[in-house]
Amino acid sequence: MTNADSALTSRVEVRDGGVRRSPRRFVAPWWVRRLGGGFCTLIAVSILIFLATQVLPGDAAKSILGRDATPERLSALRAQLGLDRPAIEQYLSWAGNFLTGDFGQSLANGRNVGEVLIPRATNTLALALCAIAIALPVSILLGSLSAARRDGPLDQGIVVTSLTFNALPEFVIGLGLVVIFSTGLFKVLPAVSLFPPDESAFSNPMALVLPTLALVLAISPYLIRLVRASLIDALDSEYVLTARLRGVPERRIMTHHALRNSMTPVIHGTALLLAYLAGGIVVIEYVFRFPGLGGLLLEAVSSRDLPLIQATALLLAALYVVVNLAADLLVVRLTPRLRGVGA
Amino acid sequence: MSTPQIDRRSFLLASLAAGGAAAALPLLSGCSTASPGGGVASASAMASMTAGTPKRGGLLRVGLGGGGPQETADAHIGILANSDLARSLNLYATLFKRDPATLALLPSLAESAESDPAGSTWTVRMLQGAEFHNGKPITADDLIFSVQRIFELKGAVAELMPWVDPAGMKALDNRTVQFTLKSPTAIFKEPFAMIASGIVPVGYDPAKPVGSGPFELKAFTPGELTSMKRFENYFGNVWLDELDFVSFNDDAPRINALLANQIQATEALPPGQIAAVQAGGNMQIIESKSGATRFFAMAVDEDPFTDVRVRQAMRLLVNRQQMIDQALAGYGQVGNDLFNMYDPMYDAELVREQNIEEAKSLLKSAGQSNLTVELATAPYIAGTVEASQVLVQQAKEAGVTVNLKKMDLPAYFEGYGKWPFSGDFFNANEYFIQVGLNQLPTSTYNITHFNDPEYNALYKKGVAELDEAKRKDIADEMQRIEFDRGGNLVWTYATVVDAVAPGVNGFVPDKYGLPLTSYDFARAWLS
Repeated sequence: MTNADSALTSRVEVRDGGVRRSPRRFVAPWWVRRLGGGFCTLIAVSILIFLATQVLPGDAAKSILGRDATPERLSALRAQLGLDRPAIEQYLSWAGNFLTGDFGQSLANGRNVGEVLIPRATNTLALALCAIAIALPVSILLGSLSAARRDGPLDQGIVVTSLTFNALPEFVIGLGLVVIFSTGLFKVLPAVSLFPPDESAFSNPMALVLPTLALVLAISPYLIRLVRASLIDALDSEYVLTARLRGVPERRIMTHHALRNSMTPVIHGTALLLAYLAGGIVVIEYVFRFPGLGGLLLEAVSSRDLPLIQATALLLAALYVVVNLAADLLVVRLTPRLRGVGA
Repeated sequence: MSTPQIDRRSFLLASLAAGGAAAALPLLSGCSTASPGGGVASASAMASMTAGTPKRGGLLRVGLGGGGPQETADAHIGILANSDLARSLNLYATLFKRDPATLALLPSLAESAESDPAGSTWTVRMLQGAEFHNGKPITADDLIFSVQRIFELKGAVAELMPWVDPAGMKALDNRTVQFTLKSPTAIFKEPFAMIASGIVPVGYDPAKPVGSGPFELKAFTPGELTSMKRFENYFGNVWLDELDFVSFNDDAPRINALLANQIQATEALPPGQIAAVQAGGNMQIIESKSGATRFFAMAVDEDPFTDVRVRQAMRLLVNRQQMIDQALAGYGQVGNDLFNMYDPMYDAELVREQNIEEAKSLLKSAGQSNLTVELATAPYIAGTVEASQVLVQQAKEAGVTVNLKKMDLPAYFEGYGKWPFSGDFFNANEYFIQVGLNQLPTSTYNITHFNDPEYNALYKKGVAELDEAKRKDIADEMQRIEFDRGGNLVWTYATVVDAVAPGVNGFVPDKYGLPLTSYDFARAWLS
């Protein structure tokens, strides 16, 4: 099941399954097998994370005490936090609790890991969904326009603009937006998120505006180029040529044939972006003081807070598995030759 | 998965530390021409800030440097980040506090503290009628409990009062405690003005922090937000209804939040951004020339610093004013390898100036003409990394190669106390307190590993000397030893620059070195 993660492999399996159709023998649907593989991946991830934290210099006690870390205070705190136990014992007791739904307590401040993690995850979800919801249609529109008017002034304008934004570091985009909309030119939007920790970003939409905009500007260039390249491939294909020769209107060719067929890489690209948005937008989170998952993971690592690192990283890894699976399911729906597979 | 994030963050931090991308990018050379131009502007701002009669009411939101998930509301331990310090100072009252203008000790929760003629028994009397946030009167038992807790947790303050015997305290009446000391001392009151010496009730639970400071806790999420409200029965004046501390991981968003009016006060502007905040609008700038010390530290027991000539040469090759101009945009006063220039014990006769020739000849006689050393540095306080870079340049003039080992904070503190050549910082503490903090073999922060028998003996004599003039003589002798053979290269006494929005009043310049008048929010009021 180790190769189950590759979308390509699973598609091949799917096709085989479709051809053979052995009705009596029970074979779990390919996506169930993928989920099983994902679970194994998570176990491996948790072990890897544990090993990695053992290799990192310092531990939670050292991190809490900072420059006050005298040997006496260290050993007292280590005993209090259970860090004086053998590594294997620490991992097994954590894993045992985790499987029964007890995510443990943060070593840094004793708060319940679930209580720390869930609001942050909710905020990140809000931000990622907003960003994708805007970036995806905008990118498909601009990418299609670009491909349809290939090498024309509009195409060149879109390509140059998206390359420019692609080249700008995210924090420059973020700080630029702050200067324009919060502190300098117009003072209309909040510069940072200040909503109380017990509320979520969903109920504070104003706090989402600038981070969303920054993310849209940061990820759209990638999506636009993906749409454009994939659409250009499709437009150059033989079936489009055939359609043109049959006199199908250009607009209909675009919407009914080319665009639909060029969606596969876009869907996979969007899935990757979602996974990236969940964990990789620390810079944007910092610029806007947005309480999300990326910053949480970073703080957890720098405070060597193992239960929090594990829970956050596993959540991100699980998201990765699920999002990729969802993308594959969607691709199967959209691609007729992959359809009709129930196994 | 975490590696690229760390890289991104350190890139971001490095960029912001270099001056911030929101403002103009004042790189090192750009800063060097800037003078501490806050002087005039801040004087007028100050006039408006202290004018008027304080009135009650309102919410003040303050942006502070955060400590992440390790932030604590404990009164006695783990108080590291600025937001921890500010929380501690507003939730918990200490027996004494400092006058921001003179650094003189003032009674706070204590009404008096008096010793017998030998200084071996001290009697502390607390205010009549003072209460904790939960309404319980503050009694002698609470003071005894608090001191015992400090010693049990081995809090940093315990080291500063080695003469206190946790078992040697006795309640004389409801608000009076007699301390029978292990050894006599004149420095009894000073540790009780330190942060982390707050008085807590018997049975104190840090998860439900009850103190007797000007504000009581409503809600606390470590690394994010602290919400407090006025403690109505506080023994002094408190004007604000509510006080919020918002923790920030980065400087740029903190300053943007102020400029966007989402917070009304923030602390310790990065030197490179002061000009931008001044130019950017109507913010009031509070400039505090403080005695807080920033220094490089050479471990006297590690080669090549075992040779006193090498240590003196390193101290001689530094052009301190240039370092201040380039690393702090001029916001600092020249340091002379001693601590806290505003302390009454400070020996102003000892002055160190750059002397490349003498440095070279010292190195030659030490056989270290081609000296190469490694300097461990991290952004533990504003300007340190930049100052380290300046040192690299200046050392070249004397033929010394300084290699920078630049780290993030966890890595730096992991090796803290072990680096042969590194750096540190302190607020403007009283001389004998400062010695207790980092100059004795027993000191937590003794990163120079200084352990000089003559010096240690003088300290013992000094802390027990009740005659202030004689104590000053001893302190002078000790400072002479530090100056001649210590390991500290004190390059500046920092100037702290805070910014508050129009209509926020009550803050005054503070010599101690903690921002916003040592986080004394009891004095703040809104107009």
